[in-house]
Amino acid sequence: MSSRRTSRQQSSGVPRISDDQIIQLVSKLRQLLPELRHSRRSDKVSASKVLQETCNYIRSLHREVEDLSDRLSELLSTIDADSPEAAIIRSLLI
Amino acid sequence: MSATTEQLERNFTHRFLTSLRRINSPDSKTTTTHAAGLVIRRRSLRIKRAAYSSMARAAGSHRAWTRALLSRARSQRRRQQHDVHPNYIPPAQRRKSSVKRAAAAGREMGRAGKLRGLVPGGSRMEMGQLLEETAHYVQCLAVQVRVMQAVADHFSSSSSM
Repeated sequence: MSSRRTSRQQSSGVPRISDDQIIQLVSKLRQLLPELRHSRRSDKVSASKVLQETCNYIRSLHREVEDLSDRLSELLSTIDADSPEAAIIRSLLI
Repeated sequence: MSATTEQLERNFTHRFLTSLRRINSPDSKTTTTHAAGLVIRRRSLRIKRAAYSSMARAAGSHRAWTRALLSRARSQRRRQQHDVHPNYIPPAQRRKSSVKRAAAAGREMGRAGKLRGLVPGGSRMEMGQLLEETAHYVQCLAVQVRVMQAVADHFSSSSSM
């Protein structure tokens, strides 16, 4: 794997990254996306589609965080967050 | 789940629960002077921020997105401390950042431009780094959601007993 890339490149133009690396990274992204992970024809999914699905997925995750924060806020007003902490940690780590 | 994901989940869970306890401590509020709905709304915002910050810390500072997220959180807190509304952006700043963002998006092929807006620090990254950071960010977000879900489920089941 090539050396770590920084966001600033001292280049005379557009920073270069090989097509192969892009392909690798895109396929890595694809593995993470619930929509596309199970697609069997690996060459059928374009990079553009992967990027689009990634954006959709991130947005849906952000929405979930928002909803869960609302839900947790309501729940916190009904319970004492102190007592179940150890139990939660235990149950989450099993 | 891989060992590192497990470690991340544990690390995040611990930080997040610690934050929840702090947020829920009764002495930090004068609840009687505020409408309950407002308290809940405000606390939801604090919980959301605590979740993102806890995850960024758990994930580690060797990632550009975690540094960008935490730096953004710091400037939000500073604005809040000066009694400025947290969503308020001073006019000069607003102009500058939106112009920069528009220019960056214009330089970009449209599809990556959207992604840059979603990943913390994305507007400053070149393509390869953007894709790598995105992959990591997505993994961490998924863990974050999973843990928040589990915590919420646990709290709702224990309160309905």
